[in-house]
Amino acid sequence: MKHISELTTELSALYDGLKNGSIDVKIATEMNNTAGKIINAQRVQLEYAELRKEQPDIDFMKTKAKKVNA
Amino acid sequence: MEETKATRAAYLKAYREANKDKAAAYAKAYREANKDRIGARMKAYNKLYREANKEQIDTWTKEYRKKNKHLIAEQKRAYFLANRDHLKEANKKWEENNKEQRVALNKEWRQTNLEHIKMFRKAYYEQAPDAYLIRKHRCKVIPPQELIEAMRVSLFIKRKLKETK
Repeated sequence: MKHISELTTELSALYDGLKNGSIDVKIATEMNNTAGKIINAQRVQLEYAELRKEQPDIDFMKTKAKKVNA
Repeated sequence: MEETKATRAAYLKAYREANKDKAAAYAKAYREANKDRIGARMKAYNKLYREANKEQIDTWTKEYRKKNKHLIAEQKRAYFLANRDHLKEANKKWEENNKEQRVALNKEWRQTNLEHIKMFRKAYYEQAPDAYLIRKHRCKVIPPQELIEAMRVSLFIKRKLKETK
């Protein structure tokens, strides 16, 4: 997985699998939880960069983040 | 007769003027000495008056609050701003000392207002889905749109999984 958009694609595939019954609910829950962890890791990375007043070029997310309520 | 009345009135006025401070000090001392008794009497009188004029007082209060809504809000805000640190500290202290009670209260409130909470969440999500996700993930920076999309899909699957269970 090289880009965040791939995560969304993976999640869509996961939903399809869940819908047609090819993926077990337990596995789907774990996969979705892992996706949540990846999302949170990215969020922390963005906030860390904001704290350091940096605008890093994160490969995983090409678009830059903005401060909330700025 | 009239002359005597006028003279007496003038004398009384002059006497009062001359002894103004003395009278004030006496009244003050009397009030101080009988503080509890006066206070209890006033309290009892107020209680009786309030009971007798309950409806009228309620109307007045309602009217006053309606008329001075902005002023009351302003006063509340000013009080909050002036005592912000103190209030925060007191709140924190209370929460620390009443942790179990606070958790129980919170739980009870959530249970009682579960339907409202769900309705509010739904409305919030429908009105501002991005803002909802940003708040849900407690983001301090607005994430790129791709990350918000991932959050959205993940939340969608989570809800579906919950429905499946």
